[in-house]
Parts: sequence; structure tokens; C-alpha cells
Amino acid sequence: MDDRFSPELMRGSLDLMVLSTLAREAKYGYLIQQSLRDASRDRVNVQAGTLYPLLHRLENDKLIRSRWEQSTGRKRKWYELTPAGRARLDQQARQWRDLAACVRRLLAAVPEAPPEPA
Amino acid sequence: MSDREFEIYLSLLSRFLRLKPEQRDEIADELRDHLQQRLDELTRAGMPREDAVQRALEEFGDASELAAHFTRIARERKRRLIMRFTMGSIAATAAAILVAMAFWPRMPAVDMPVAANAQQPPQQAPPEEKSETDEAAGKEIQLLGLEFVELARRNPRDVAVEEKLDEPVELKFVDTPLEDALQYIAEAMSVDILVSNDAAHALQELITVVLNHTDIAARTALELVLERYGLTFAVRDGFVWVLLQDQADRYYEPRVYNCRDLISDSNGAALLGGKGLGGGLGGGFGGGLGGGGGFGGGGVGRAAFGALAESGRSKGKPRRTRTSADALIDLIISATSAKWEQVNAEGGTITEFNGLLVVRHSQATHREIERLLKMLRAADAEKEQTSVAPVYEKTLQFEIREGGDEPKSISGSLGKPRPDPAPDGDDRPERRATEQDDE
Repeated sequence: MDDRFSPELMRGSLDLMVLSTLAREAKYGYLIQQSLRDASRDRVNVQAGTLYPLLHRLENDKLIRSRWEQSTGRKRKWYELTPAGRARLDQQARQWRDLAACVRRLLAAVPEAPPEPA
Repeated sequence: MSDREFEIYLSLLSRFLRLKPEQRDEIADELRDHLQQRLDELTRAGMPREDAVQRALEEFGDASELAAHFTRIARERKRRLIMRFTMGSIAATAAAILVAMAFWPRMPAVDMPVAANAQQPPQQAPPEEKSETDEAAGKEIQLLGLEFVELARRNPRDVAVEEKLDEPVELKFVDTPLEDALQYIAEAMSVDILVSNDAAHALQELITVVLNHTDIAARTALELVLERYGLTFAVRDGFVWVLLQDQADRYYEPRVYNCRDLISDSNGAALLGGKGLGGGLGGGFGGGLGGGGGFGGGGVGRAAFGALAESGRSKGKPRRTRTSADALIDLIISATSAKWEQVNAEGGTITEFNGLLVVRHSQATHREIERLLKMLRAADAEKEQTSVAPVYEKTLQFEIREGGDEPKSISGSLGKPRPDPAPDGDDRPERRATEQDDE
């Protein structure tokens, strides 16, 4: 947990990351958290207490929608992107990539440090 | 399956959640699901169960803080979708009673069956004393004019909402998000605005509005603001529903318009002597209303009754009216901006039945039709110079009261006060206008 990204860097990207986990398929909360961890190799570890309010807020903003599914006696809440959410994701992804390219260009002036020992 | 600690935490969380029971349960269910899975994951990785439970709970954080987050989010959604509700049922009943007062003095032959549907009529004045009852019923008569038959038959809450929408509002939106614009209008007019799910999808924050108007009717403001984004609205059950224009057909209503005065027999003489009859009748009219339904808001109480007797005398020649009824239908179809089934293979329907036009369409289209019929009748009355003229004076005051900002399709003949003084009608417009100015 020590090599997690600094919160300032993450702030603002979390929405984008959560939306992107839903890009290919619907997921429920726990799966979303897991996807984030897996994709980031454990460097992005969103606490449940952060994730669920975030999901509810995204639903409020109509970027995702939820549905309950019943299976083997348990109800589970699945989330998927709405058309507006997909549009937002595309837009933000584009901006993110542009921003990353800009920052990378700027960082050309900064020597790359060797990766920190694990 | 879930451990006691989970349930303790979840019930604590629930108690902190200031939300409806269903909402609380849903949140608890969702979190419980997560906790169980997390527990499984941790214990499978070798963690002792007690530690795993504790760890899983820690990841949720403090129950009261978490609850505060959820509550705030849920409240925000509620605030966005359901705007301030200040219209109490008392106000609604008062408005409905005023509407009824305006209505009944003009209905000589119709008595209690109508009352059974609506509220008690405060007084029943005989129709000759039309002028006194005008005063007695107050300014509401001016506003309602020919349409009030239809309004009085509708759900009183809808009537009250419609009246509020006719009130003027001052607006200045500069890059205002559409949702905020709707909220502003809702609060200013003390109405509820609900947004249908599909319309809500369209209502992204990205849509902003620019509008600058003083003294525009709230209804017009809503139309202007919504139209651009493929949205429209309908009043139902006391709420203003914002819908996609495509969905407006789900909110079509049937209304009956008495057009016997406009549909002439083959000699070109109006069946009922061109008297201003018949606004539309509201969708749900039951038996008792149907009986009285022949009379419009024209308020020519006794005259209307007499006129209906006349139509009896003409032995109800429906055959002969067919042609001009068709002409009227074609006129309405071509003069309104809506879709009609007989023309576009989708949209509303309009058919004639014994001089009555039965129209099934959106409220907006019904308003267009009412205006059209008013104009036709005003044109008729100008030709005729009958005692019906004062009625149109009242319709004109509707315009004056709104400051002349009526947005759609009122043609010139209704837009200005009548120059020739009808008996008794002359000083009324000014007097009424002054009274309203003093408000």
C-alpha cells in the first residue's frame, strides 16, 4: 500500500477510472474496486467508503445507471454506463490522453529516475 | 451468512441515513454484498476471520460520515428532480373553488351533477345577472374566458398548476444549466417540476440556457427553454412533467370541443347563430358533465341554452354539417404545428361527432386549438355584432393582463382592445385593466 499514487494526483481522475472500468461491461461495486486494483497492479486502491458514494454520485449525474439482479437468493446491484456516461468517458479519455502527452513533453526536461526498489 | 458485526455496522449506518426506508435498505443491501465478498477474499488469502471482518469494516470508514455522504447525494437527486412543493392542498382547493365560482353562474341548466365532480359551488346566480356574477366571481373569469369549461373539468390540482403557469415571471438566464433554470421556474411559480427518466438523460449539465425576459408567462418560459432540446412538458396530477417531445404522445388527452357554432349547415348559417359557445371539455368527463357539456365558457348562459334548443329545432341534421365539419378539421390540422394520424400516420386524432370535435392530443396542441377556435369565433362575432361581444372583451383582457406578451399565434384581431364600444362593455376593459394593474 505504500506505493499508491498520491491523492492529489488521483483526485479528479477517479471518476474517469471508474467510468472506464464500465466501458466494456456492467459491473457491481466490488468488481469495480477489484478492476481498479488489478489494472493498476494494486496501486489504485479505492476504499469502499469512497467508492460507493462515488458510484451513487455518478448515478445521480446520469453517467451510469444501476439495476438490481437477483441470483441464488442474493440481490446484487450492477452498474453500467449510460449514453451520457459513455460520451463523458470518451471526452475525458481524450482530454486525459492529450494532457498526458503535454506533460510528457514537458517532462522531457526532467531526467527519469530509476524505478524505486519494491 | 453475514456476521453480526456487519449487521451492527449496517444498522448503525441505516440509522444515520436520513432517507426513506427503501433507500436505506438498498444502500444496506449493496454494502452488505460488498462486505461479504471482501470477507471471503480476505479469509481465502489466509486472514483470520475476525481480522478480516474488522478490516472489511474499516474500509468503509466511519458509519456516520458514510451515511452523511449517501444522504447528501440522495437529497441532491431529490432536489434536482422534485422542486420545491409549496402549493398546499388548501391553495389548490381555493383555486378550484374560484374556478368553480367562475364556472357555475354561467350554467343555468346544469346543476348538481357537475358539483358532484368538483367542489361545492358557493353561489348559483341566475344568468341574466351575468354582470353581477362576473364581479362576484372576480378576475378569474377574465383569465378563463372560453376555455374554462375544459379547465373546470380537469383535476383541480392541474387547474391550479395551469393557472400558475400563466402567471408572468421575470427571467434572466446566462449560461444557466437547464436543471437550474427549471428549478428557478419551479420555485418562482411554486409548482412542482418532475423530469421523466428519459428526459433526465437528456438533461446533462452540458446544456445551458440563455434567456432574458421580463414579464413573460411562466408557461412560455418553459416552452422556450425546453423546446430547443427536444423537450416539452405536460401538466398532470398536479405536477409539471418534463418529457422528450417524442414521448409527448404518452400524455395525450382526449378533449371535446363544441363546435356547433362554427360548423354551418349547407346554407352557410351557423347552426347556433354564431354565438360563442364551447371551449374544450376536459378528458375525464363523466355522465353528469356530459349533460352540461354542450355549453362553453362563453357565458352566454341563457343564450347558450336557447341555442341548444335551436339546434334541436333544426332537427339535428348531421348529414349537412359533415362538409363544414371536415373543413374545420382540415383547418385545425393545417393550422396547428402538431402531428395528426390522418396526415402523418402518427400523432393525435381528431374526429367529428354531431358537431362536437373530439380531439386526442397533447396539452400544447389543445391550447393551440383553443386559440384557433377563439380566433374563429372572434372573427365571426365581429361580423355579427351581437350581444356576445362583451364575452370577447373578456377574452381580450386575458391578453392585457399578461402585458401583451402572449407568445404564440394570437393574431391581431384579438391582440388589441376592440375599438367599437359594445353596450356596457366599453369601460370594462380599462377598468379591469386598472384593477389588475393595482395588484
